[in-house]
Amino acid sequence: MKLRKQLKTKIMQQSKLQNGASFTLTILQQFGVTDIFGYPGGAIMPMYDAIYQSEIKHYLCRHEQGAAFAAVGYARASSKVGVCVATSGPGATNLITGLADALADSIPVIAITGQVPTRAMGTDGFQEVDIISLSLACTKHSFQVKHVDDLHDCLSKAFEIATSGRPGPVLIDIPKDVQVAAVQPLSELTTVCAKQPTVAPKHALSKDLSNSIRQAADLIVSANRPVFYIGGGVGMSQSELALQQLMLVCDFPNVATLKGLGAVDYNNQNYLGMLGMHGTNAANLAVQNSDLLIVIGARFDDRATGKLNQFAPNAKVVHMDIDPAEINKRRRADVAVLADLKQSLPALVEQIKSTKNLANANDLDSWREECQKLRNQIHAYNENTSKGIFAPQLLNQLSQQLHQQTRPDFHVTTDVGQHQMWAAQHMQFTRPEQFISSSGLGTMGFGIPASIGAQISRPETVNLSVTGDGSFMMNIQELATIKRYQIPVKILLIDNSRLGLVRQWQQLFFEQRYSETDLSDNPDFVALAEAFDIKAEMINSKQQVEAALERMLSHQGPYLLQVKIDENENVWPLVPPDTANDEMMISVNQ
Amino acid sequence: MQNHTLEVTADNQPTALERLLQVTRYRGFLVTDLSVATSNHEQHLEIKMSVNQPSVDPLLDQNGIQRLYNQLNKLFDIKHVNLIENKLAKRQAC
Repeated sequence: MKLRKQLKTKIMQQSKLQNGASFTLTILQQFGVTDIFGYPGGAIMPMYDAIYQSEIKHYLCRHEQGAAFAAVGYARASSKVGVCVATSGPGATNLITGLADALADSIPVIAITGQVPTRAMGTDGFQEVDIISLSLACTKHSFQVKHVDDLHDCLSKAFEIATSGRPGPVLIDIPKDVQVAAVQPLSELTTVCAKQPTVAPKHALSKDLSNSIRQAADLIVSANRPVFYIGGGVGMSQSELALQQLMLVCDFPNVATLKGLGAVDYNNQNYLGMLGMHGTNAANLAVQNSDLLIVIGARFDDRATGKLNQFAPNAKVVHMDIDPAEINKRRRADVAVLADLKQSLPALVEQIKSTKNLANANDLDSWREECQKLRNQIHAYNENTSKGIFAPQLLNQLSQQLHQQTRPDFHVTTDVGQHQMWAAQHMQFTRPEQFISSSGLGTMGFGIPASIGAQISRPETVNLSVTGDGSFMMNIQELATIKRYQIPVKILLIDNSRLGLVRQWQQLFFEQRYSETDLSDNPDFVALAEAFDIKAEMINSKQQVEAALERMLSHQGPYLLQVKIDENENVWPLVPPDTANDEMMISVNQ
Repeated sequence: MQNHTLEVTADNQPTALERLLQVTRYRGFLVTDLSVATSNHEQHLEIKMSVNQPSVDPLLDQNGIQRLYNQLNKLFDIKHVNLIENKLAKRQAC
């Protein structure tokens, strides 16, 4: 009893001073953080005690992985940094997948983990794990704060690192004793706080940017079969307008990567769709036959290039990116423009305008015509062979209904699998942040928590999560988060009772040995959603589609629309593994 | 298999060396020699590291050391990377 009283007195004394935990929240606020996602536990309790009275709104997710994905979705829907919090040991390890996802897609996320007290570190303490070591492969950087005096410096650097250059996740591990240690009042620190840069830029962006821009312009104006290859970097650097300017000056055919979708308005007359494994015939053929690829904020991902040594075999490459390590990583660049696209794209436009040596108009015209013919055939093979609901048509219809909505904007998140590819192929986007999908890491379970984060980040928008029955079950516990905060996310569950994309590969490349991909014993998803107070319905015929989509989109709160589809439906076209992108399959028999 | 030597200056942080080795391994290189000393009043680590690259893919092997150099140069703890031209390769070229 006496001990408890002493402890209470100690806690009260400490609470009068700002401790490491509350100081951390104060710094987060200084960096503009208003919302964080997390899950409490032993070694992070002082932080949660500070959260109890903080102005920062904390959202309790039901698994740390959900919190990490919510932070990713939050960041991707806006230009803000996503923040997630977890305890030591299992709490911290549960964040890892979300951080790896953020690293693969270059998303600015700050993860704060509790750690056992410094005196217990290295002793295999309860819920102790070497999270710094685990973080090495899945963060841009990580810090372990061993003294409270280092908190401000580490947090400031963390924000700078997460958001500068090519963005990425940063982890900050804070031992429990550092969280409770007293710090000097903030007023004494305010002069050194705020947003002054704390990380000196290590690399000059480009030794001679104007020289490389000139070389790029020379290649561009003399190309006969040029293609713009648009990646996620355009949206992340908020360079869509600069890209539009470039496309006004050079109305070349253009293609997008999965992460680049929306960077070019789908209405653009030269837009040929997504390239790569499930890209359009038009995009892949244009790229394969081009003589110049102008690659803007992209990294030649293997899903985009297909067999690398047969990728765009006759094309020279102008590679524009902010990350020096992406230049010549998978494809040699004839000209590398190493800079922030916000800087390099306008400079390139000006350079092209001032170049007298104009391209051969006749050759360019016949190239445009060739690409236009391909463009007109984009949806030709998407005939409805299914008796039931045809997912590509469903998503196309959904997309049209979303665009007709009076609400200002929408975000679509996806999980990973067939539904993701159908959404990428058949939904139309006009802005990059409209399509939020785990692209680099391909993480099932991403969509629902990412959608929660996106909705909290941009409350005024319609948030739609397109998912599959495999992925949906991977973070199903986040329905409780939706319920708790009444987040009006619309979930479109495309249900084929299969792990569809794996089943498709088993059908095509593993002699129809359907190993562990039959999910026909799934739970009753409607009943499951209703158990979380989420309005839900199931449809299985084409006649029900339009009205059901309308009911979902017009519903004020969260909604689940389960759409049963044929288990044998496949994603077409498909470039088989280790094959050139112009050898696309468009049916099982081909 | 080609040998290369890198001289690296890093912040004297507990994770700097671990991070350097993790990236080196992940990017496909084996460490064959390593020496570490502190400098600048123990603020920095001076690391000299010899590596070689087992062949994986002829297309990707080309320029592999440059890719490792680029990836190491990105690390926050690492202040400077100097790629020393391989003396043996140079002699053979002569």
